Amino acid sequence: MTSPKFFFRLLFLVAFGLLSTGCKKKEYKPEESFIKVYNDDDGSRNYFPLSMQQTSDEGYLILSAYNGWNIHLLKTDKEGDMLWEYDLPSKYINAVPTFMKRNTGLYFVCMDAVGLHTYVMQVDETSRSAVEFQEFQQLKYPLYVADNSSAVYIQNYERSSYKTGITKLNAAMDQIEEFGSVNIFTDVEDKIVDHLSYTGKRFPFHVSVTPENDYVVMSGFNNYSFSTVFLDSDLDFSGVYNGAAFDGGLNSILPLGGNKFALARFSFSNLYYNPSATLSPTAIDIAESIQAEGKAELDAESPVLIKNIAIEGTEYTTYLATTKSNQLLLNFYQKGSNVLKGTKYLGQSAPLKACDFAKTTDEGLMIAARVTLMSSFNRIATIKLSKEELAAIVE
Amino acid sequence: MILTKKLSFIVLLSLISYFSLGQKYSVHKKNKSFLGLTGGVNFTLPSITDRYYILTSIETADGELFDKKYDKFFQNGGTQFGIHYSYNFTNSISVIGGFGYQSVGFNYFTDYSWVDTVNNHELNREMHHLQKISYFTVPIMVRWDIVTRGQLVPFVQGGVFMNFRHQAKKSINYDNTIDGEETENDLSSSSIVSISDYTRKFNMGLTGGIGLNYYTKYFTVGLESNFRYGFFKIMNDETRYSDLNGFALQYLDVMDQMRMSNLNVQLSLAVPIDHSISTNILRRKRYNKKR
Repeated sequence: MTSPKFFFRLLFLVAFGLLSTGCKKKEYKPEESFIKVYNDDDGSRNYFPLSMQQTSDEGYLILSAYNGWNIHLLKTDKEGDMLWEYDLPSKYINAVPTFMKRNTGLYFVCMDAVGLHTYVMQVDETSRSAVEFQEFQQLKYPLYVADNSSAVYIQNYERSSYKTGITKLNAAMDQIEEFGSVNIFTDVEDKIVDHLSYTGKRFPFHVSVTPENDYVVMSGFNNYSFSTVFLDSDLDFSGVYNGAAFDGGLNSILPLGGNKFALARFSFSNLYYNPSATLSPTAIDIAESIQAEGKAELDAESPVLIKNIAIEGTEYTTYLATTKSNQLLLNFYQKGSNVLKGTKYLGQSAPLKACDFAKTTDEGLMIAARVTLMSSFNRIATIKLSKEELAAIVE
Repeated sequence: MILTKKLSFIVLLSLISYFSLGQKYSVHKKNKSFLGLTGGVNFTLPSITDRYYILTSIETADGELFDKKYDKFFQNGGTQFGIHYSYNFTNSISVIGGFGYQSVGFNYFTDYSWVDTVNNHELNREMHHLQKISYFTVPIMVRWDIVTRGQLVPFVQGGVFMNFRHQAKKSINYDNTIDGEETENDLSSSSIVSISDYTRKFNMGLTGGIGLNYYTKYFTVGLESNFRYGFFKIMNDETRYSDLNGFALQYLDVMDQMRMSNLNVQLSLAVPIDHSISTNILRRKRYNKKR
């Protein structure tokens, strides 16, 4: 007969072993990973996040449009909980992506509701609001802004001359340094208004600067189409990849340096990726000639965002897009190549739309998205992936 | 209804009287071992240590607006069964070790409301969240038999337990009426999904309780009730927002952190296993006195 002592000794041994191994090594930090939806119990309000930026206190500031082109600011703490929100006065409309950062201050560009001209607004976190920083009467219909710290580029629509304008501001954002434009040859104001008021197709306007600072890349209206235009450092026309009228073109483009670009292009309802395309800034070509891989599951009407993200010391060209079933899809490519290193779907049943994403100071990834709650209400959502979750995707 | 209750009480009283007053034997079980089966029901009281929310607003910072409302103790039911082994060091002190399977349940509900003043539309949503976590459980207790002179032996016991999570599941019933109850004619349900990855694999704690055993020559039947208090947190903090089942955004659901207390009531049946089936654990009281 087995001794009872043996039985109980065995039990205590197992218990001791489990207790020793059960001790947690890593302290839980709620700011590392979370999902938040920012509530507004007013069912008549609809939000569309545009841009998101981490602030100096490790919280996040989210710039959104609501009920069309009205502007909303939302500040969260580092755990994603809402600290304050602010609706800009109705004089200011049509905030354009993206935030600009100067020291610890955050700025964004918007439009005057009557004069249609451009404001640079400064976010005032102390008073939980935004104030006018600079006004540019001559720039009508601002569509996109890009900032590379040494200069700010604003794309706009010149309604009187049917041109797409590109304006270079100095680093202080108070003076115009250069101005260039391309001809559209047709009136696209109805398309612009539909875009701004969220009543029609949202066009993927875009501006960026090559790492060598020699070309400005601009996706916008040009020559009866939605095209991607290369401009030299004086903002003179250099080359173009023409879109298929207004139903095809580049959805997003990220200059990687040395004539290499990560891009997504659309053709009607189809979307294509090429994370390592070679483009010539002096070429005159059509966008559909750029070799790219079809992504049948992705929604071509939703924004595609491309950024370089470093994970554990390795750079990845990262795509964030929206699937046709309203999930978010993250694709990580080895930088400068077409090798897919990781994929992550986010969301399942509640419809999501990709809006912005960025690496955080704790090496995680923050995503701003629009979620449709209860099949009814469009709200701002944030999804934070921890450093470990991010690393697991590309393992 | 009242008559049935009275009748049940009288029958129970008669049985207790029969067993306690009509006892012819005393129990002698020093150095004896028993092997038995247990089974019964349990009720859970979650103790919330940290609250978490998917939906957040400025009011959330002040608390309570989107707090989950947890069901009361006796509404959080579960079941358990298992085997146990006991060894009696003296006639009244024994040590019991067991192995069982325990399912504990806890429920809560959340409610949200949106009003569209432009389109004159109001949407209310009340969601009832039903969770069930199943553990393999190992209790180790010391039992003291308070009275050993009859066949009916009351006892108290206490010790530790270890729980090893086997599985955890969840479903949500929802309706459009905020009244704290499931509205039958307006009720829809989610699928049942696994929440195993949201729960921690191991827990341990203290357990203690009271019970009553009735000894016969060949077996022992008993009724006991034990309270368990788990030391460790139940939810896995690392996976809280991983949204593996899609409930986070669809049902705005994220689990709070909690510790768990549990009260069980169970029946037991045990047989003596030392040496032979006839262990002579019962002796006539008269014979006992002579010796």
